[in-house]
Amino acid sequence: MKDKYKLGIDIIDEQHQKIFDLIEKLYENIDKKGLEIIINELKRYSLYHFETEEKYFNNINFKLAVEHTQLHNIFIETIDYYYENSEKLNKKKLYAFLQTWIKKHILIEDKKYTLKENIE
Amino acid sequence: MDTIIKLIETLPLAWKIVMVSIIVIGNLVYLFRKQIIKIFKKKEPTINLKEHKLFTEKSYLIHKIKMISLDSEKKSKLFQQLLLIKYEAIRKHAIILIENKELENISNKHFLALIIKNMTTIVDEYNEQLKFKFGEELFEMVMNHREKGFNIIHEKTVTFIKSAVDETFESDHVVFTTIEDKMDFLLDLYYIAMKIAMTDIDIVYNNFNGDLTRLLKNCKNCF
Repeated sequence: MKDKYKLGIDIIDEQHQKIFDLIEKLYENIDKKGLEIIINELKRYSLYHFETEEKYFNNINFKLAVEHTQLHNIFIETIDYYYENSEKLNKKKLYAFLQTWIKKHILIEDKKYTLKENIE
Repeated sequence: MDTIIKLIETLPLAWKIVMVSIIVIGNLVYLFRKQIIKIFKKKEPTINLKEHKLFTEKSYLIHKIKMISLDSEKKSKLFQQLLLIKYEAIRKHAIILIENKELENISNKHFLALIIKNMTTIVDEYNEQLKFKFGEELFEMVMNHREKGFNIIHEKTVTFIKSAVDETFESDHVVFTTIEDKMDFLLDLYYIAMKIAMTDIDIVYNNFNGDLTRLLKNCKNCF
């Protein structure tokens, strides 16, 4: 993971790294079954990570916690959709979409909870 | 070239005509080779967009919406109506988009602009219909409230679709090779947005539960 994606909060940076690694696995030579396993793992781990973030929001009194949690729900709903519609699973499309989403989410949305003006 | 001309001159008239025709046709083929390749390369769409879940699961989605049960019949009906009207607007304008014949030769930039326009039309249309259905006061409260209303809550999802389409197509356009492919991805996002709208309802409901009870009590002709 490039330095620009690091927030300076160790536990969250480690979890982001793990999510990046899971998304990268989509580009490996895997069959359909393997793809389903990765998507499932990605969903499970993302839920765990979002829980960590949401607990962190409570600790720091993050002003934008509700809006941020909504973005987490959108992500999970999207992963769910592609898991449930495994016949549509195209790893290239999914890779392009997830890569873009996670990078933008960290750079724009996650950065917000590192800024003092967003903490009560 | 000179040898070919000399050779042609020695041939009988009928053969001369045949040879000249071959050369002319050959040159024409060479000049218009790109257009010819395009015509023959044109494949039948591999994805039947009308078979997308957004359309085929109409009954299922409507059933899910009608299953929404809140603490009063009026509240349940209020949010059911909201979602039903939203779904119908999405479905209608998604069909208009996939039936647009101009999409075949459209540039990426124009395609994105068309999608954004389509999404704006959907939002405008369901808002218009809900304003009529709910009446001014209830509409302003449930849909347009600047902090708690459905539109501001659901805005996150609308923004998500816009940026997902924009960035995914722009960042890795090789992934989506055909217009059907792109449209299929868009329909996926519309379907996901519909499911998210159902959970957004919970947020809106919790946002002003008490206020809604009062409003609906006074609202005799809401539905």
